[in-house]
Amino acid sequence: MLLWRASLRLLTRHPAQCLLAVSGIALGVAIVTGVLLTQASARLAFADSLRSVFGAASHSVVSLDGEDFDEAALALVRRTAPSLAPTPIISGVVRIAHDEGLHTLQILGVDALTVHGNSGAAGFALLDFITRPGAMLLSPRTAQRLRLVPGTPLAVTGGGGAHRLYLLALASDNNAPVIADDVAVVDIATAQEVLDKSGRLTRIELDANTGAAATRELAALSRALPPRLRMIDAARQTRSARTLTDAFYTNLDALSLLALLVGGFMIYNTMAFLVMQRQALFARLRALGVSRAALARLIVAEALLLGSVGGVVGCVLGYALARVLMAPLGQTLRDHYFATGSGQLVFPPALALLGVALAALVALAAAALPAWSALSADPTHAARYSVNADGAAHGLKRAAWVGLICATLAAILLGVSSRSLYAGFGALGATILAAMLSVPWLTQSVLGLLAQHGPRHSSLALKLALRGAARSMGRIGMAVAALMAATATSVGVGLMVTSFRGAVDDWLTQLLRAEIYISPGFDESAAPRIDEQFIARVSALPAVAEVSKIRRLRLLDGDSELRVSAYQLPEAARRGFHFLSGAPPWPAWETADVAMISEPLAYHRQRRAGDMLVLPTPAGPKSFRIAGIYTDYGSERGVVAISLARFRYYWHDSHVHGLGVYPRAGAARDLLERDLNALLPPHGELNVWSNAALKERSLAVFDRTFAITHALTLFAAAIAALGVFNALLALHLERGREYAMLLATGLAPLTLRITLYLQTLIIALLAAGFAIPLGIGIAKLLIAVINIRSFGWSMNLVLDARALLTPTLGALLAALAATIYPAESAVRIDPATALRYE
Amino acid sequence: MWRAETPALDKAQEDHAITALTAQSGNAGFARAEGPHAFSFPRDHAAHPDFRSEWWYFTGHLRDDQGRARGFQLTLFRFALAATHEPSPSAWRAPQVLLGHFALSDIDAGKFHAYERMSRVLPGVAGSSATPPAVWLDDWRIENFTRDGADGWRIAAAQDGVELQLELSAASAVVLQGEAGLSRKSAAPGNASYYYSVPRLRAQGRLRLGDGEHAVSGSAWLDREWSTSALARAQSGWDWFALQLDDGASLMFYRLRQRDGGADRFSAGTYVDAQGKVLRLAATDVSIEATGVWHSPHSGRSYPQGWRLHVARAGLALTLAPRLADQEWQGRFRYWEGAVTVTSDGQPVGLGYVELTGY
Repeated sequence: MLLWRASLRLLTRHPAQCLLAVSGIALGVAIVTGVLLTQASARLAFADSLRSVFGAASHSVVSLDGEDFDEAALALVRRTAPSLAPTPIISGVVRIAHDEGLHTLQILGVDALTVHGNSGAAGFALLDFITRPGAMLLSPRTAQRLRLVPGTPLAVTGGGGAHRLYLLALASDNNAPVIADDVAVVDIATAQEVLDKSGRLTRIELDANTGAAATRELAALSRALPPRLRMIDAARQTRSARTLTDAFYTNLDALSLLALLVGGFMIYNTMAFLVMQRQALFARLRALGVSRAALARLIVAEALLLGSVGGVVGCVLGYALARVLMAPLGQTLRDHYFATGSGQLVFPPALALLGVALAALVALAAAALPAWSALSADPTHAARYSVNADGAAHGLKRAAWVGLICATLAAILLGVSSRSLYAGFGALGATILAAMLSVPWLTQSVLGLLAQHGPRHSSLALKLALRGAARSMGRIGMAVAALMAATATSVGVGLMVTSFRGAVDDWLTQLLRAEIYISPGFDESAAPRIDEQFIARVSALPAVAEVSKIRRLRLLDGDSELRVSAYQLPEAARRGFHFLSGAPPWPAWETADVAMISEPLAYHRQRRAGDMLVLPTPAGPKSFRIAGIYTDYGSERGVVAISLARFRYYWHDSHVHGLGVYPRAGAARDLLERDLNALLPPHGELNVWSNAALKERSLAVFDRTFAITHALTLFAAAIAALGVFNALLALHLERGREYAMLLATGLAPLTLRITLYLQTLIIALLAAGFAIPLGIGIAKLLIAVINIRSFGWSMNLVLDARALLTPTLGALLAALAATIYPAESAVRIDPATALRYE
Repeated sequence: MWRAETPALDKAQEDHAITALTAQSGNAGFARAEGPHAFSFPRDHAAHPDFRSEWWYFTGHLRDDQGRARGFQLTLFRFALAATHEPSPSAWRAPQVLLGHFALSDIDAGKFHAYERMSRVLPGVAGSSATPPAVWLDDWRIENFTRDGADGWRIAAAQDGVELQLELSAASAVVLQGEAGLSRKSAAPGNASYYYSVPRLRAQGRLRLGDGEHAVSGSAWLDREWSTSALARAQSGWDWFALQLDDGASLMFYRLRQRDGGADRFSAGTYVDAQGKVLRLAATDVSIEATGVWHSPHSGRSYPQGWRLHVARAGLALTLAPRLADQEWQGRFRYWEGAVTVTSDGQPVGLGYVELTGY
């Protein structure tokens, strides 16, 4: 009982320490749960948008090239597989005429009479939904963003020109189907009208979940489908969509790893400190006859209590953090993957449990080591154990050894694995961990050396600072290590992003050879709308010298999607390709089955120049020889490029998606742009872009993508700085008596103040000194290992001064700022009171 | 006979698509059955898209070349969701819907196979034509033909290994139901349908079921009806009887049930004797007494099962018994439609079909 009261007294007498402990744990948990929550929500919300409209479809019939197909196929599918309840879907994108916080809307056309899982469909105005042109259903959030209430019209521009949709009902209304955000569910007739896709379907969904006839009909259907169509099962469909976004999530995975490390160290730091601080007290209690077991129970109970309270607070903070992070994340998913989703934050209870459990467990583990050393010590000896003795130094050395083991592990992981992304992440984590574990000991050793061999005539403040800094490493070493790691990660990610952006910039500059481009403005999935007549009209303009053409298609190749770009390129455009290996394919480009593949495709499919690649064409599978591998940052899954001539030969299709226009020498560009704009069909499905505008747009998307990465690393650094503040404050609180003694023996308050700031500055400079090389190392790992293994993109590391110095300076300033309060309160201590204490 | 458009159709099923659709749509713009109609064939065998709903309703009894007994039902319903529509390049804009029901009662095996299909009228999928009068939904097809001045029909349906193809030739004249084909269902003017039957069709064809394809023959009944609104709100459903007696006579009677359980005075029917003489039956001419009850294990509903039917004006005292207890439809609509045997004084005197809705 006495024991528990002693513990309680510590916690109530020192509410500041108690608060620091809980907040330290809470911040650690917050960053972990925040990042995990964001990731989980994004996965869930955006997985929803990939699933079939109302959920039940088990299979889909789609076209091999990913484009819409003739709705006549529906008759065949219905006859062949009536038990599978075939239901047609058509989808596309429309632009919102008066941008109201949302640029585009995904249109999902359904047949309400056959759509799966519609048994409750009558609750909303089903008849109006089917018979009134333009009627749409929206999620409440989307309606809110567009400021629509049921009955209000919305002007949109689709493939077919200007149209009016109107909000019939909200998806939350009685019995209406639940739909994702940014999606307008409309009747199939409305969808065909608005998208100008009359007679076309995007897919036919099937439900093979029930009925004995299902298996037989599935088999019959795959035999009966024409060569351009193919049946895929929903799991496979989701899988292939997943792999698309998986690459995106690796980015977040790296960040959660960082969060876990920083958060774990925060908690460790807090708890270890709380125990070590009371070593003398424990020794006295032991001398009074309190058993080791009783003390151990006390420490465990304390750790669990503080861990749980901090864990709960941390979960709440993590939720707030995730709310902030969701918006840019959703935008990125929309930018890159045309994913739509509720964008809503979900909070799986398991995650909250994980947060609290993490806090409690790390708190326990953190308390264990110092508790063990405190309890195993000889009580008489330990009672004299001062704030900073050999024990702490031993601890630092031991940690450094563990760090060395981690470093070795990282090297081994990199050495034995060549493609595993997990191994890459493992190596990255082990490297950061190694640095964190060895930095306190390294710092202390350097400080010790400086104190011994430093300038003899240095000021008292500097001498005191050096000695104080070295002595305090046992206490604040972990916090400093966390700050160093966060700074280094910031530096590393910054360098990687800068290098990446530079590479993309160079690539775009080289690739965009034409002065002007004509392409669909916003709907990447749009059907090719440029026909021969249009090309002829463009070519006939007097200012046009040459025209390049591109036709994109998405082929289903086994389980995965294969993106193909079919090019017709004039000489100038061909120079835009940079080959990493093999030879340019140009000599046989138009006449033979020759292809070039982008670097990511070569990596993912493990193909080299000279290998063959089989493309499923309407004429059956055809083998293309890979002439060369070229640089491309446009698609992380990779692209196969073939000539437009070969595409037309196999696919019998003359439409293309985009044109590059090469003006004659001396032609006025603005006049040409005007002429081209005049040639465009009136409804806005095509746009004229200058190459500068196109490049700017691409880089803007790039920047948006990495905005969240930046934000998160900065946040981690800020949390680490807070950790330093916590540690310093605790340190100075503990040293209050020592400072009082110094002040009582005649040390000027100003000298003490300078001493304290110098102490922090020295430690922070050392931490920064370690952070810069570690940051470069992290950047190297991200570029040479993580990027390659997840995307297949190679690039050179560029040592950008801003990326190197901004986080470093930020960390220095943060550390100094963290010293202000502890230093000022230390100076204000009344020596008499402080000395009387205890 | 089947009235999906009635708001009173089926309490628990009112949340289903067609019921809801037709309940939501008004009658504005549709033609109504208000006065006499000059029936003309084969023209009236074809669709009447100006009316909101319509059906081609075949039921019958077959025996295969091994003597096994089967009952069948093939029905195509047409519903208009709106009287007019805006011009559109999309074929889906047409507001006409076809619904198909195909059932085969395998009497000896005690199995009821039932399949449902639905589609908007769409090229290649669902539609109808006037010459020849035909209506189709995927590969389910009903087509009228005239051979040597006599009416005939080819009907075909297949799903899940059950395939039926029949050629039906008229063995009796067309019977105009109600007042020369105008069948009033309540006192309100326009609450009526145009309704005719061909009570006797000779059936010849092929049936694939289980162990292979067999030649089948037997007799069938055709009901044709189109209307815009028929039942009144106080009516909850109906019991419909179509009986083919061995002596060559036929009997059709529908009993409209009121929500309070009583029979509606607009219940009506027709007796056609072997010579083709037509006797119109009013509600009071027929007494019907249910002799048993069947609880559906699928829906939990209770249907009457077995009847005694007295028609004094035609000198009939008949007992009806289902050839299979479980002939319940479990698709978008739940109802019981099944083959029955007809006996009199314990002696078999014919076969029939009974439809029970609103239970």
